[in-house]
Amino acid sequence: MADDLSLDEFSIADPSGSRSDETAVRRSVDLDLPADEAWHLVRDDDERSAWFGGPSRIDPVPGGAGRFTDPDGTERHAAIETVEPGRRLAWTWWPADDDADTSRVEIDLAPIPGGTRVTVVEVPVTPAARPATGTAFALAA
Amino acid sequence: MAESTGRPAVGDVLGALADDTRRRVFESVAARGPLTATELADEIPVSRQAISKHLDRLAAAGLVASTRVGRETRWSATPEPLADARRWMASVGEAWDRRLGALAERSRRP
Repeated sequence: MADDLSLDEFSIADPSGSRSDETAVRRSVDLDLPADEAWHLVRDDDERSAWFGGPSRIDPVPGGAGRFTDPDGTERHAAIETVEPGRRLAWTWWPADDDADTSRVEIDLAPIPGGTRVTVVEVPVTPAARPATGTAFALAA
Repeated sequence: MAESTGRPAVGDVLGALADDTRRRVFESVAARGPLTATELADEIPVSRQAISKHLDRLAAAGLVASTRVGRETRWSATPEPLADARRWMASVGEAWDRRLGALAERSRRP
């Protein structure tokens, strides 16, 4: 029981006193591609669908809608928040059948010698913070 | 907030623990509960009223629950949402490992 109550892995306070990202999932990968080509893989629906492992469509403007299907068939709705070509794509998403599970995803592209580093941060957010625009658009299948 | 599934949202659980004092309240209740707000105020340097607010927030996230004993309200930890949060971190991490692996592979396509 004591182990179950450990909060160490959710350690939040950092020396600066601000909230850190330790409750976020953070992953990155280095690609041997210039930023514009890496961006195409992130931004283009067909390319993104291929590496997401399921259909993925977004209206790439702030406030635009998105729809993702996980490899296991789970449908997710999304509200696009940030679109900075060549640099950043961010959205909030949630499974269509589970409104408690809401999170924010940010994909950042940064130049590195010989390529581009793609960094993903996903952090859970309170469903109350979910943008209202997410399902306002009907996306063509 | 999480009415449709009957469980607290991971974002609410981690948000409830994102405050140092509230985290300390939770840790005290988990270690030595059930405790009253007054008992907690004796060991944590904030007012009983502030402790009560923190307990309410923790309760909304499903992390503590209260029982009334006579005129006293005693608080105990209900840590199941922490296990949910752990599962969330693990499954989201695995999903991104998979996606970024596929992205790297696709980027090497001739």
